Amino acid sequence: MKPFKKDKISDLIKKGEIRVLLALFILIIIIGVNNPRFFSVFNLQNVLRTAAPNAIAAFGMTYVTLSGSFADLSVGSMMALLMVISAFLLNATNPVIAIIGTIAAGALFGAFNGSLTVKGKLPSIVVTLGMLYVFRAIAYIVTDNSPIYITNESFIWLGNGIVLGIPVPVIIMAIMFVLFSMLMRFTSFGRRVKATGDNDKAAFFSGIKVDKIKIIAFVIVGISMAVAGILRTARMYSASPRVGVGHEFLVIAMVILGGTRLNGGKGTIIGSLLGALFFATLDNGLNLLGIRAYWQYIVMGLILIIAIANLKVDIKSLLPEKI
Amino acid sequence: MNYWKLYNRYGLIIVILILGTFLAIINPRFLLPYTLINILAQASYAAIGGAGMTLAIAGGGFDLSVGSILTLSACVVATLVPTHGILLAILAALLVGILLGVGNGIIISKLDVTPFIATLATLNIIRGLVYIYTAGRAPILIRDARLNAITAGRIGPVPVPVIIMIVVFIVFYLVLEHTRYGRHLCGIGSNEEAAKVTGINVDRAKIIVFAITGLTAAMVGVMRAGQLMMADSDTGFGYELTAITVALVGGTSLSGGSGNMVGTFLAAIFVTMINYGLNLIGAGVFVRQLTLGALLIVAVFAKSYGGKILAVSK
Repeated sequence: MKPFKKDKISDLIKKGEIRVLLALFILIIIIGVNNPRFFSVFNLQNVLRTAAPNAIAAFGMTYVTLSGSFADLSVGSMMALLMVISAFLLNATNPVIAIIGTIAAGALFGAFNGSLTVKGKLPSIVVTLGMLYVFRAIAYIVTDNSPIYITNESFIWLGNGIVLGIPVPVIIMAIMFVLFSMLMRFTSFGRRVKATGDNDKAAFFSGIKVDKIKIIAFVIVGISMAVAGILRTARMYSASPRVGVGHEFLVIAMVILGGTRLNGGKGTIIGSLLGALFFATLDNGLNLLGIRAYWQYIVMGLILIIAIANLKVDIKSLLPEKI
Repeated sequence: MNYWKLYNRYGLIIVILILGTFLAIINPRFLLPYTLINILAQASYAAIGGAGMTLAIAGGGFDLSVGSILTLSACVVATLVPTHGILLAILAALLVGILLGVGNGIIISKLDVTPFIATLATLNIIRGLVYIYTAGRAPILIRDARLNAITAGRIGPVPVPVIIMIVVFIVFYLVLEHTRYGRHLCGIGSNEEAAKVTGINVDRAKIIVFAITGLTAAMVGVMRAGQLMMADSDTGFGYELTAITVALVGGTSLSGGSGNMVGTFLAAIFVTMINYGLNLIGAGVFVRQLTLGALLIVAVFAKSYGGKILAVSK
């Protein structure tokens, strides 16, 4: 139990996380004051249920960003294809095989992205931008551009069930959160990911298999997208090849807002969780306040820019001089 | 003779010739002047945005928001033609592109946000603007045929898009290779700190290059609207992939510091020929997207791999 003792609560929540926590708090107050219905159990369940797949995606993306590979731009399309695979497997076999098969496919897609980036020594942005269109196109081609419907009750329960007042996707999110946080904080793998992202040459010379670490980070995001895809398919009773266009933006925004450094090396899973909760609350709040859906694009884009803007203007020079 | 050196310098021309021979065998009509000119005209849409993207990449950045800028400009021109006349509508659309580009540039230089995140954010912001501007309306139809004549017609035997493309490439080539601004831009792309020390106004150069990229996207938006005689929120979908693919397949390196305008031009023709071929065999739009995505990866891979072999053989 040593590691638990070493870490104080104040260590757990670093500066970036505090910022997003404050932002979330202020947002909740603004929404709550304007529309108390926000606090209804039904609405809170809804917010958390919407947040769950996105948060799980953000957990995975955190690993990619932390390991110094910037981001995986293909996650939205990858999720659409994984949803199609899950629905296809479910209709052909049973839920267990569908879940295992989808997760395996996600890991495989991630391994493909990762190997291409790392072994081919190619920029991850270019590889994953290319794969964004490849995955999407495959999803369209195999479904012939129409949704696949599912009817299996127990699979649908994963997306819509409620246990003791808590939606099942939220429980799965919590489990994934604990697993991914533990992996990050209490294993040598987590430390190696950060070391690789911080300075991959130094990490290499200290004996870390940098290539392997980076590829595994892509595999992890692939697995997260599989879980997120399964939850979404279950929630929507169907898999459509059109789902998740622009999703990469949302996931990257959550990770960055949660305080993870874009160049890698610094960041936490809890930050990404808070980032996901922030965007889910924002989404819900804009709806409750009757603001049109497309304003969300603008608000989210601005928030992302503000979150990582680094004003070159020296604030001190604007203040009156000390007397 | 070193094959990789040969590939790096003349690779695209060779690949285009091979693909051309192949297409001519499948469909002898490919070699008709009419078809060839049409392919050039089709290539201009990818080429013009690719030219802007090449400049941005040479300057060490890149722009994911071009698709959204294209869409907004197309919608602006489509809505303004009936009320304000063609000339004003086109100018307004181009101005929108320049202003959005300047916005990108300011966010990147003054707020110090990486181009990748900044343009990913503005991609979404501008998409939101498109929806607000068009209020979710169905496609905006253009009824004034003169717009079509100006942007997609022909002067003699030569289509207007081809003329625009050639002018853009000559200007951009000269800017990149023979002006102080071009040298500054490449300097910033290869080493920003060093460029700053030598007294280059880095922020201004960056704002200008993103304004140019925005302008090229807006030009393509106007041309597309004129060609299709309509604009909707899907007009520029995926255009960032096209522009980036064309620039990178053309041999410009994502690490910045140099740009290959001739390569971008050839790559646009190459991509259009592939699309023509895919069309011939009856492949749908999704197969084309898949091919484009795969081509992007293969091209950067070939370049990196070829470079490695070159380094070893030295």
